[in-house]
Amino acid sequence: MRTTTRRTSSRAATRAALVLAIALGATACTKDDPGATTSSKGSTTSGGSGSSTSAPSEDAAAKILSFAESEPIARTTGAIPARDGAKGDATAEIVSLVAGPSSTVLLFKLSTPQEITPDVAFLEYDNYGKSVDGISLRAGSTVLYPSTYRYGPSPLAQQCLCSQQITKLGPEGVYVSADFGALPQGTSTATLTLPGLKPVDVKVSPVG
Amino acid sequence: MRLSSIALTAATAVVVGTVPALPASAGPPGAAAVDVPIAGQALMTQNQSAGGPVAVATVHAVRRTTKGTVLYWSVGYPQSAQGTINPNALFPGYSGFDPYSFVGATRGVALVDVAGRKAYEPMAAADRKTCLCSKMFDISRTPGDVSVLWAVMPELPPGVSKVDVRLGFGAVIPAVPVEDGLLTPAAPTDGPMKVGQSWPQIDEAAVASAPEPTRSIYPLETRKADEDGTVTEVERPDELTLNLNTSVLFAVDSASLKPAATSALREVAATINGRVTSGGTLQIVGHTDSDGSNTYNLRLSQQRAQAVANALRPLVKAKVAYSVSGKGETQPIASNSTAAGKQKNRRVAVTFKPSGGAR
Repeated sequence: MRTTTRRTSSRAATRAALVLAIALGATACTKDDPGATTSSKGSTTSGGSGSSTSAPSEDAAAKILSFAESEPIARTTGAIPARDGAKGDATAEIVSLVAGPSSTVLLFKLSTPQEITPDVAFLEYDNYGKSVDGISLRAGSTVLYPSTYRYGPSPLAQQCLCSQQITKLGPEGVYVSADFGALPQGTSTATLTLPGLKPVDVKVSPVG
Repeated sequence: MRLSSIALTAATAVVVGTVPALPASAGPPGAAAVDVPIAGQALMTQNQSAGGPVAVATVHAVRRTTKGTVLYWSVGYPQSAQGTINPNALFPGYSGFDPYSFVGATRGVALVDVAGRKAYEPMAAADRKTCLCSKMFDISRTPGDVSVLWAVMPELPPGVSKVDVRLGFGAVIPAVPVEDGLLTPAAPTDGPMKVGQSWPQIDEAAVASAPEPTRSIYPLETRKADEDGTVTEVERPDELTLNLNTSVLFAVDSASLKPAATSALREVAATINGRVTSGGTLQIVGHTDSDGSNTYNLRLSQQRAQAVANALRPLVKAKVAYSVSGKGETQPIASNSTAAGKQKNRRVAVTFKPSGGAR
């Protein structure tokens, strides 16, 4: 995995309404080519105006694939439970904490120096399908926990609005997201608590 | 059709941060263009397993159409991706708990309206066996390719202007604008469709005939607590539950409120009074942990619920109908195998449902 490679783009940047337009140059069908047809694979299309949108899209793809997460804005360390009952040193690099009028979205990268299989209950639920409130955000006297939604009548059919089922941690890390309700208006810094790691203050960014 | 070159130009670009604006060029006369909007991006790790291939997920747009809401997004692996590329590993497995967990579908995709407290997943097609969404085999395994994907969710309420988009194992892209109209040009798709060529053609008739669209809408719970955990709020679309920590309210094995309970109950009443518009119901339910006998726990939970109801009546200003009961240890919200879990289970839950269900 090459997630540690940093490129020029940033998460905040791509959140903006960036629009690429692929001008097709000589790729376009011209008027002497009226027979262009629509392919089920999308390789050739034809509009009523006679213009065509058939072209390789390597440039757009390359631009999209150049995405990399931003440098961390905060960092915390500690030890997290592994599935074998042991604990492993861990580092969380907080990438962003974006606050909107109705939700707050956290993104961090969790890594360990050695490969470990984290306890499944670390961030989401215990074996009974009950929330363990593994992640929390505190701002003033308010503590937020990740939102959840229920997709069936079973108590186990409850899903955290956070990254799930981390099967293996290691030096490359895994990105973890969590969606909370709204922070109190005007919050500029919130204290993030991850189970086993030291609480850390994180600067809040307004949603773009 | 003649193919020779491709130029990248900026049509409408609103750029922030470090992304440079792409230079505009007029392009040749008659040149067609496919706009590729980017509303947000995230990285998706196969099987959430460190060291495995990482894909780039891009949300292009969320668009309203007749009887539905279309998510346009894409997935691709960079040339640098290492390991065995398997797009199926970007999505959670089939869930027997989910009535619409379609085999082969790009699962885990949802539009989240946090303000309205609802999550919208792809709708079922008329056959009820497939979803109105891309399949996992629609994603190219070739590094450097970016495959365009789609999903049609139920209609969003008219006032919803932004949603958080959830993908796969839980990547979240916040505040994606909800706009009107489908992306064009569009073409039928059956297999990987490269980004920049066209957009997947949405069968609006199939969308309109989707059975039971409301089954793809799930209630969302937002959760918060006060600093010391005395009162925990769980808010759903049509109700608000305030879980009161009974360790603060009552002494061990007692159903008499402690003096310290007063401030917590005032806090609860203030919250309810702030939400009341035209009355509603107030359901007060006592719960215990699993220590002690079922019979004892049931009686204690009933007595504690009644004590809380008696204390709240003079504090709650609105005309609400009270319902008081005890459930003993039968409805835990946390494991009873740990002290922390037991602490959460010992609670009195005060649930307020406004009249008509609307807050």
